[in-house]
Amino acid sequence: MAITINTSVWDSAENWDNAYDNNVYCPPFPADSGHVGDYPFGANTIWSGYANGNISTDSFDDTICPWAYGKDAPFLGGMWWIPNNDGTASLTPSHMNPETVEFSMSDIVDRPAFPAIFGINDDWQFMRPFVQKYREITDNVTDVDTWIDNAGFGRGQGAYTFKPATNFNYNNIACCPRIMYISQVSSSDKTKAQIDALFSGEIGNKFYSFPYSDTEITLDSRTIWQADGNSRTTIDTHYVVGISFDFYVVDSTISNPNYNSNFGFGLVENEPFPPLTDSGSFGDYYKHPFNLLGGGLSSSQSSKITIGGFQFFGMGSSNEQLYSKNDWINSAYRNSNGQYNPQPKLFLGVNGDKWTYYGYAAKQRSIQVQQCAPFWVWNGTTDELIEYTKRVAAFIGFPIITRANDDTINKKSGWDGTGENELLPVFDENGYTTGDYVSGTAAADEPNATWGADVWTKTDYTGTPQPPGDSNIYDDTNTSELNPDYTKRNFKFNKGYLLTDAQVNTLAAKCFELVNGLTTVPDFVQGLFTKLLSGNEPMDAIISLMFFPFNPAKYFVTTPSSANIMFGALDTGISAKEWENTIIELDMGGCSFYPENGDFRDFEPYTACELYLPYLGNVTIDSQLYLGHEITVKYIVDLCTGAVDALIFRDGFRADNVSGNIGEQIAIHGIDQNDKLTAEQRAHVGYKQARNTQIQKTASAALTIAGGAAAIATGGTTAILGGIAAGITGGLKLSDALEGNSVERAKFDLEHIQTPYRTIGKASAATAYRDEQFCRLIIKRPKMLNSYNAANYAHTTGFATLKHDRLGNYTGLVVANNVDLSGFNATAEEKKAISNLLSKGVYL
Amino acid sequence: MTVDFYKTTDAPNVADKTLTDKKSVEHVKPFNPCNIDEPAFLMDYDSTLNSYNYCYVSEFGKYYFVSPPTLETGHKMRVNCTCDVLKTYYNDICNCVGMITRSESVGAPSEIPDSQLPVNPNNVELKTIPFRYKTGNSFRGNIANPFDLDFTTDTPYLLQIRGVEVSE
Repeated sequence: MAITINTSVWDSAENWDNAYDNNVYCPPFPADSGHVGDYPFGANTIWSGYANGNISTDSFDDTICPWAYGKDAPFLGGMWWIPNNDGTASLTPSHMNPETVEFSMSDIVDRPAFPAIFGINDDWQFMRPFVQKYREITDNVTDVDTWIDNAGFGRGQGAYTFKPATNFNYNNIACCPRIMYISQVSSSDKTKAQIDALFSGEIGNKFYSFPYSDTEITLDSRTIWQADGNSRTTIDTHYVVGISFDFYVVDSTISNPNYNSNFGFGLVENEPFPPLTDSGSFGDYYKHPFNLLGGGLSSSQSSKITIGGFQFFGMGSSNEQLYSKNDWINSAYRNSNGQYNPQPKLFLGVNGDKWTYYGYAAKQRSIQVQQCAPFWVWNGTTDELIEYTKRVAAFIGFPIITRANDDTINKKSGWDGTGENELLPVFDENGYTTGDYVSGTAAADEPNATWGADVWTKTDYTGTPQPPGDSNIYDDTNTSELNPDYTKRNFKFNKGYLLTDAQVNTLAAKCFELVNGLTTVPDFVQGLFTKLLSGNEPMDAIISLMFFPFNPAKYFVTTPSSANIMFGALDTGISAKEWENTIIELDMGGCSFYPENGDFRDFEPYTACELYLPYLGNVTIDSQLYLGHEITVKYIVDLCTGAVDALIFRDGFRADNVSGNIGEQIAIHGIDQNDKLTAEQRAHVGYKQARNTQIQKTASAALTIAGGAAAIATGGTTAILGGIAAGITGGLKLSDALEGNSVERAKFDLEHIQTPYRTIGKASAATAYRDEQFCRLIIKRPKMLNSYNAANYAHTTGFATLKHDRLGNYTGLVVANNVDLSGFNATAEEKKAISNLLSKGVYL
Repeated sequence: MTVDFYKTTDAPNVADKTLTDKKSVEHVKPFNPCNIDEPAFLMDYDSTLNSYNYCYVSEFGKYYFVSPPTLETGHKMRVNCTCDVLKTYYNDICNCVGMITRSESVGAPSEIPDSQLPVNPNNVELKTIPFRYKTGNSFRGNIANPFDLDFTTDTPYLLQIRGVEVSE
């Protein structure tokens, strides 16, 4: 793959200086800034940045600009199509006004914006899409044809429909639209109310990200988003600012009146447009959203078009319009006579959280940065401004050089180690810029310190080389790949049924009904029959009953089928969903762990952090590992056992896991049929035996009586009768005591068989169900003593620095050790005295 | 010899001191022998010099701290001086490279642990972030509570039964 980086101005200090000296790239303040004709840093000073370079390649992906690709928000700018003489157009970024983006230094650390300024024919334009004034078009406006003269797009009677999850997902890149809205809209304003209603009040001087769901969002273009192209005298100070991939008609009073054509712009986050293929056919992807001069869409047309997955209503022809590259260029940059419109149309903004590349010709795509600079809103040179610019340059990978007084920052072709005011971007171990920079001799160890003027060709730099002998293959992305086949693990050795609360109660009743019903002959026979066939009784069929605090059926990859619950062959008659998967995954969401202070206090032992995980409790996590990263959690649940494994991700890497149980075991109580049958049988047998014994004893007693009668014939009658009476009395009483009680007891036993119960499973605690049900990051940050005053501390004690650097780069209190005092003529005693003083602290 | 006397309010460890009220005194005589690191000068008594605490001796090319003068006979006064190496070699020191352990101008605590920073050991700020779903590039999306159950329709109970298929 051929990669060329053309830095026609940047490639030499001479060219840069020429541009600098000629003041070519120094834009004045905007007309309405209160500084008309002034320049931010004086009329003849260039105030920062880079000029007129471009980076071209035949394929934009992470193989080019690897040091920047995918970085968060290096750009805050728009893009222009600039017509060229050869009939092509090139793409150039403009800026978006950081005025309306609430910057702070902490923002810059991780999400720097890149304000770019564009210029055409030395006529600098200040596209300030975020602060353009719009006139809201209300329901009272009826003359729709006067709203927008040239732009057929968005005439106010339409609506834009977004389905964020569908429309903003390309190659699994979530590209949610965002909206920028400025709070000048009064609270009583209808539109404000509508907007608030639409977006839950999240709007106001900040971006709002649409919910990333497939919920369709329809915005009424009349009442919310449209600007007025003609009736500028009635423009209200309602600052409604872009929706990603939306197009507005901008009041251009701050632009050259000759360039009064309306133009649309939009903010684009990530990649709403798929990148071009190498064949470069726009028609494959790009669909023209609006018509500027001739052709395309008109106000009388009322259907819709689809752009990048959006549907734009009310401005399309009856059929969906697809446009090729030429269509695009022609309609955007040529008037009805085929001439190029002198005012190129800003059609896309590059704002976002990633670098976004747009192509403009076959096999060539381009990002041009005409100039990037701290913007005038700072209204002067400040330390913050300088630092901001340094960091922007560092994010992009540019070595820069600052002037001695630090009020200007120039691009430098490479680092040569000769100046302490040379700043070199710091790359991370994977070859990405960090926004940090080093200067002076401290930069000597940086890999890019040796790139020199070839810095622009080092687009294949992928990070610090491995040390010799280390043959490991490292995962530069640190992305964990979870087993995608977990849903296929679906054995059916056991049957699983998913029950509702009511079904569990029904089932419980059924269990007792089945067993108790065994006293009737048919059930008894059926029970025996079942037992014979299954080898067990119905209760034996149950393995477990668990309660999960979620609905497992919701997470099955296929819709579960329903069937009657069977205890062996016994049909309970309860229809329940059968399980489809034994392992399911729950997305528990996440958060970003941003540094609070940006210093050592953000780390342990000063800052401690924990994760609260529902059903698992609080776990301590390593703040060093997660700080500055996204933390997300997935629950992997094993339905068989109720076990849960909480996977904790740092960005895409599963860095930690916590195991526990989420399934609540429920003890099932029922009648032990085996024991009951045995007891019944034993009681029946005992009763029969007792009765048989009684009968035998009775018969025996009768025989004894008969023997007594024979004795009467041979003895005295009275004595014999008395003996018989005694014998009967004594014999029958014994018999009654023994045999009669046994029968009664056996009968009693038969009639009072104790029901034998069984318990399956063991109840487990369910207390966590009352606890919080969402994950939560808990951060314990240190507080300073009330007496702490940063300025005083800095002045009297100084902040820990630990930099090997030139002393003159510091002012105020400096404590330095191991200072090389060579190079000037002082006595040894004097140098020793200097060394001692520096080690104790001096004010430079 | 001419000595330029100054007043300064800066602390001795301020390298680039601000010097005011310059008063040049001519015909100053160094005591013999003269150690140029700690010279003593004899000059005519001048009561206005009592409030001067600093001087520059161009002949030596050095700056000096000036001690309170002592009166000498003959309407003379003696001034003892000590070389201020910080001011004398200020530019040279600035060009030196060393390990900067602490500095005022870094402006804020850095990633270098600083045990002297007065962190309150008994007080922490508690911040918590409930998890949400990611929308775009931020976690501001509404999260669907997986544990939000509808007990009338959801099926959170799992009954496992031995999977012996038996026909009646």
